[in-house]
Amino acid sequence: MAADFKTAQPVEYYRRFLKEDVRPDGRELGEIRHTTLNIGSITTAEGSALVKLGNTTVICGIKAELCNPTAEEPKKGFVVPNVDLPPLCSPRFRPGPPSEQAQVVSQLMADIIENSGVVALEDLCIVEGKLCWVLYCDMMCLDYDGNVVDTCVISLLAALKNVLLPEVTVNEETGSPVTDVEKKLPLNIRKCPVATTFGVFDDHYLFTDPTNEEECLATGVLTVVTTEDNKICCMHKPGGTALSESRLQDCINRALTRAEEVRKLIDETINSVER
Amino acid sequence: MIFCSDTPHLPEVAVTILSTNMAAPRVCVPGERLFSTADCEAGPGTYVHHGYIYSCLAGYMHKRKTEGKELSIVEVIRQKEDAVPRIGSIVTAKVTSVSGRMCKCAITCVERTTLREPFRGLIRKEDVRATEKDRVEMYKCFRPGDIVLARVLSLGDANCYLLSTAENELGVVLALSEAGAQMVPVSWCDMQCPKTGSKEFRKVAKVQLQQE
Amino acid sequence: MPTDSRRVPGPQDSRSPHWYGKHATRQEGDTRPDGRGDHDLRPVYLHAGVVSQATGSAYIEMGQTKVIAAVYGPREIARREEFTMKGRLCCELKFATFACRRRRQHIQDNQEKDGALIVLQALEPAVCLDRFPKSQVDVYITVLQDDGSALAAAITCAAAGLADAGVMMYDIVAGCSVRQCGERQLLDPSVGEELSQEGESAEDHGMVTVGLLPSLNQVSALTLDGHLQQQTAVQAVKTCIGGCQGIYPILKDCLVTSTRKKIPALDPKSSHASTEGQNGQT
Repeated sequence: MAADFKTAQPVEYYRRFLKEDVRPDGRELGEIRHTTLNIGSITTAEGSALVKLGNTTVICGIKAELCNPTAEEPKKGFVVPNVDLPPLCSPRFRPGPPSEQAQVVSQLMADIIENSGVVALEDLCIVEGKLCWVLYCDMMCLDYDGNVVDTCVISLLAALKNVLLPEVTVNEETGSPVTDVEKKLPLNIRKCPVATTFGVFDDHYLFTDPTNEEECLATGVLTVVTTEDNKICCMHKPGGTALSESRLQDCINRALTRAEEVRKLIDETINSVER
Repeated sequence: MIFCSDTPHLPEVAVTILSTNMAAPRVCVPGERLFSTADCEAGPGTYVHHGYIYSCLAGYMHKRKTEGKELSIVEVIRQKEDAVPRIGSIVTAKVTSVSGRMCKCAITCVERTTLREPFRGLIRKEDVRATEKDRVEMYKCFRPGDIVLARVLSLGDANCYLLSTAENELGVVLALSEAGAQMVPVSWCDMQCPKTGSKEFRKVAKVQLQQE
Repeated sequence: MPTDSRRVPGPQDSRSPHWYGKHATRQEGDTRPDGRGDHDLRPVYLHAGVVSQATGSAYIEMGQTKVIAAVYGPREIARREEFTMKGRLCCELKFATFACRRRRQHIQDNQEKDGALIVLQALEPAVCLDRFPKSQVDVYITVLQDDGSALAAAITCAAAGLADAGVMMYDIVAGCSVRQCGERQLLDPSVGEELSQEGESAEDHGMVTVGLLPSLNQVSALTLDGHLQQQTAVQAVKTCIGGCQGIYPILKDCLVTSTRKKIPALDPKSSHASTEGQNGQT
């Protein structure tokens, strides 16, 4: 019986599929799961997006608040990304403080935001040295079926594009800020980073968009983040099997194609919401 | 099909019954009142409260007639039952560690249901085989990584279920040799590696072929 | 303030921009802001089986309130405790940081702990705990957006998740809230109505939430904040029960649909149904 073989010898089970150039869920090695987007469904957030990549689901909500810029960088606001992998999304997470994996993904999101320059921090400044915006971008995984990084990046980008900030002015006499809720302005999105994750199995099989099972069995994982000007803004390869240069080039090319598709999907969805 | 050599499990019965009795089954939800106890007898997946039979599962309702009984039995069937090991059930387990007195393992299947998360199990030295219990050497029976078929003896303590392999049909069903190849059983206490031809000791389960 | 080293840090302190805005004044009148009658529920959307990794799960929308619940288990009791022949039910409730107008913190606060306890009390009498000795069933609930009656939505959603997980239960549980503003009794209040000051000085002012076992017609949980006269309180509970009975058919429909979808093998129309399902996926 297939299920018994799978639980008893998962690696051998998986190898037999890959030998036939197919994966247990019926996908080809380079195939990416169906991606769906839902933008702006959380009305309590300044911007929000729910992304499904196959079963994997991530919701990103952005709350904007006012704060004082630091003395070192008086012209800059803040973007604070955090990824939550709650026990709700998978049996492998337990209640308590963020797991190591959640911390790694959070830091990766922070790096992607900084390296790609998706939002210029200067745009978040309201009054130099006195008042600026802080965007709390909280990504919460609701269903963990692998490849949470790609899903988080899509949800983050889509939610940022959905952000509307109320106009804030400073009353010159009292020095306190005044919010005009009626007047809302979108954020200037300067770059569109999209991540593509690859899994390596048995040192020579390379597959895109790993599921949870595949992530557990993979001997190495690689994430490539690209922007629309075909630049790489981040690469993440936490240990595992070594990759040759030609393989790496192959991954980058595939990542560029995938990124194009995702950007198109985000733009289409945003346009359909506004209409 | 090697791992479950037990009598057919509940859902299998249900499938055969339903195919012979073509009345469309009703889907009911927990708490739904089904029949009066005067008309039917409560079967699995139901409970009795104030003279009425209620469903306690979201599943398919089914009425079954047994010989020698006047009332038919009402049951509610859901294929994925809440599978927890019970006394007497056959489980599939993976050995995680072996010591001189016992062997610890992770229960991955209960009867035919694959668990989403494993339960901890324990095979004590005296429960490995039925005969010559005092001459059992744990290291000659199990190795970490082996897949074992066992019966639940008791719910054990707060940590582990107590398992037993003291039956011919129970024991190691799948093991890898030191060379990494899947071994073939050659006797009740030996398995052989097809690659190197070397023999290793195990408490081997007698493989039963099932008609399927 | 203790720093959280496991998350990406933000600035020391920040304020919501709405602090400085003009508050929209709520119009007073006979109808509610969304045009409902006082004893009307908002439209409810309930769907079971949304989290692929969980044993059972459900998602509910009541107006703009959105809650997701996932059920895991029966599984091993995480902390080593004494042997029990009875199973254990554990419940955790969390608000997403973006669920409310003000930003919520990552760390569980008292409101969430309190809410988890009420949901647990509402569910526990319904679950056949003796069916899974020395194991536990975990219920994790996340409020994605709170537009009022989040606790009631959490109770309904968690119960649907438990039934979807195939956990044996004596009955399902439906939750409903009532806001008492003076004379007026508002069923299934939105967040604006929960926070409104209307009728605060009156003798009756408060909020009642009830968890009901609808088939057995038993109340499994009841909480009341504020101050109500005895008769008003009784009346408010009755209105809540009415609301729960209104949700019950939706709960039932949702579970019948999810059961048919999850276990088509036992359905004699299965060959028919499975081909339909495949067509739907492609």
